Order: sequence, then C-alpha cells, then structure tokens
Amino acid sequence: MKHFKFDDENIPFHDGESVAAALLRAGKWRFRETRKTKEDRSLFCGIGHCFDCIVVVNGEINQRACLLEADEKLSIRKQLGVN
Amino acid sequence: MKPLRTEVVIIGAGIVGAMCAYYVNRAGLKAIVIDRGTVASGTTGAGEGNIMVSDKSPGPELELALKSRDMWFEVAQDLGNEFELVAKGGLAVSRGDASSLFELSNSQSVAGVQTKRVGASEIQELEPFISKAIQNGVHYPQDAQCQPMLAAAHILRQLQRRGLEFIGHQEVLKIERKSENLTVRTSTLEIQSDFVVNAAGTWAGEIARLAGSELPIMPRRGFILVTAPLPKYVNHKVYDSDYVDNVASSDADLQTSTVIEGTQSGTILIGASRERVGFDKSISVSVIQRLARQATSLFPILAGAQLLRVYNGFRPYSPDHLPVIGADSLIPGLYHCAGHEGAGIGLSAGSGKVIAQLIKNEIPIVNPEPFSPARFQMAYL
Repeated sequence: MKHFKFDDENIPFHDGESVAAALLRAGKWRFRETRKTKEDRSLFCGIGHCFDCIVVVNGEINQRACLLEADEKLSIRKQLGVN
Repeated sequence: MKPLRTEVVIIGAGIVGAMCAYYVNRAGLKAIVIDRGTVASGTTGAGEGNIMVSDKSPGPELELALKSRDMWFEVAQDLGNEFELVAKGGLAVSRGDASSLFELSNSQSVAGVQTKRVGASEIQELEPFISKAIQNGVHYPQDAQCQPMLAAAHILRQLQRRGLEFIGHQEVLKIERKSENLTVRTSTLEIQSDFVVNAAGTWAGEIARLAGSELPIMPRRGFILVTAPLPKYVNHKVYDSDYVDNVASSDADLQTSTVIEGTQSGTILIGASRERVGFDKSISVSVIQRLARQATSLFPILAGAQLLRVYNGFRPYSPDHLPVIGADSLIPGLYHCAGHEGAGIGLSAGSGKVIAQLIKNEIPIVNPEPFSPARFQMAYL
C-alpha cells in the first residue's frame, strides 16, 4: 500500500482517497490546534467550506485535508495556529 | 394592539443606527431601535470596519471624520472595547508618480490630519512583506479599524442596560404624522414618538418614501476577499493611492483599487471594488480575480494564500457623495442619518452625535449645512 507522511508517521492510503479520509482511518483525528486556545480540530464540513481541517502540506499552511488527494509526495504536519 | 410610546424611534440597527442610539441615549431621550432584520444585517455586516481619515480630501467630510474618529475611542472607553477597535494606522502607497498622493497629504496635514511621507526603506520597515517595487507612500497613524458587527451589537447590548429598547424583524410599512406625533407602523407594531431617525443606510430612500418624503440614496456594490488566517503579514491598512480617486468618483463602471489589511482573527481582508449594479447580490468571478491579482502584486506573499470566503455589500451613496445628516425638509420630526457610502463605520459616531444635537436644538460639533437633506429636497418643497 502507498503511504504519505503525517508528522513522523506513515499513513497508508488508497488511490483517490482524500488526506482527511486516510488520516481518520489511521486513527489520526487531531489535524490542527487553534491559534488562541490550542484546542484540537479535525474534519468538520468535509466539503472545503469551513477550513477546520487545515494542515501543513510540504511546508504550506492552511491546506484543506478534505479536498486534498492523498499522494506519496505529501509530507504533512499538524498545523499549530498559523504555523 | 396598544401602540408603544417613546421619544425617538431609530430605524436601522447598523452602526449608524447604533451610534445614533448611543448619543440620543446620552442626551437623556427615550429611544427604540427597530430593524427589518437583525443587528448589522445590511451594509455594516458587509464591510471592513474602516475608520479612516486618510482617504478624504479637506472639506466637511474630513472634518466630521476627524472628530468621529476620536469619538470612537470615547465610545470604546465608555462601553468597553469589545469590538477590536485599534489605531493601526494607514499606509497609502503609490506605484507610479506620487505627486498627487503628496499633494493630497499636504492639504490633509493643513486640515489637521497627521501625515508622514515615507520612502522605500521606511515602507519596508512598516510592512516587511510589501513589494520591493514600492518607493513612495504616506503613513497616516490616525487611521483605525474595528469589527463593525461586533461594534453595533455591543453598543446596542450595552444601551439596553441604559434604557434603550431594540426590536428586530420589524419592517416599516408606514410613517405617519398625526398632530404632535409621528407614528411608525410595522407588520406587528405601532410606535408613537416625537422624532424618527432614518438610519436605514442603503435602504434609507425607501424609508423616506414611506414617510411621504424623498431621499436619493443608491447602492454601490463592493466585494471583499477573506483569506484563511495567516501570520501577521500586513500590519497597517495598506492601500494603493488610486483608491482615493475611486472613492470620490461617480463612475458606474467597475473600479478596483487595492486595500489590504489584517484582522485580529488572523484573516486578511482584500478590497476594494466599486460598481453600480443596483442590488445585485451575485458573485462576480472577474471582480474577485482582479482584486486578488492587485493584492498579490502589492503583497507577493499572498500569492499562495487560500481564500476562506468572498462577500459583497452595498454602500449607500448620495449624488454628491456626502452623507445625509439632518432634519427632513418636508416632514417635521423626521431626521435622516444615512448615505455614508464606504465611510459609514468611521463617520457613524460623529453623525450620531450631530443627530442627537440637532434633535436637542444644540449647536452641532460640525457645521451640519453641507450634510442637510434639504440639498436634495428643494425640488419637492
């Protein structure tokens, strides 16, 4: 099975699967921390509207895990605030 | 149903209505604010929260803006600053010939605006992420910003503890003058009062007509782009100096000029477009593209930013671009406070104060003559 990186772990995915789906299946639901109160956030609307599931992808912040197709070239980090 | 009785009815719960309520309440008058929707459901909820002195040429509007800007801080002191009011300062930049920007800032400084010319290195210091191509600008430390929806809601909430009444979802059907009273009729209410203040913003012309008068207030549509929360890439309210020309123009066609600023929630707001298309709420992709392109040319770092959403709203403008503040020429007891175009948040405090002073027969903080509704109503007299 193919994998992408989430922090230091390898997350398996099926072709065509979203990053959010693969993360949730792997039991990783803490996608990011809020800026002010550092609360965990995860998938919410699932259709790209709410921006709650944003992660850092290959160094770029604010990428929506629900819309992003999983790929072996992705190195993803939990987003902490705006970093 | 038994009619309600008060001294002043204020129609419109946007920021202008809220500020009218604040100063009417301070003047010791009993007041009821009504709105056909809820708080800030019109233009107040569709703007950026500009409290600017930098985008105005010397004249009556600038005079009101300077006073009103300081009054915003007094209101925040009195009621608590729960609406993100901050004097972040404005930075007007010129991409080409800066002579007209400097000419404007010279005349503004004579009129009492704090201005400072800045060159490339100072601009980089003020805004480290701005395009290196920017060579000339003017820094305006007095320019401020607030979150206007929070402001209107907070002001009205606090005033309810001081005796003000707010009733939402009341569409005005008729305003009638009977003997010494004005009666405002809505679908479910009848309110009798001595004075009615029309603070209905872009819809103020309709309210005037329902009272048997006339007021030429029309909509001028604007879009705002909202990025996802970002690090503090933008410190000031940064705008292209051609913005000032667009604000003053009467052209019906689309005009855009870059206005960029960060908010306390981390999002960056990108404006500003102006077009006269009536009350058309639809989204225009070409306007959004144009605003985004202009913004990334001023702040290249925004090129990779995600847009969280886009919204539009309708600035209420009058034929001479000045707000309408004062007594109606035809209907005794009716006052208008509307037509502030894109400057309504900034001008709201001063305008509300002027309305309270006119109602109380006091000498207003500025000469009210240039703002008088009479300038548009002579033909009807």
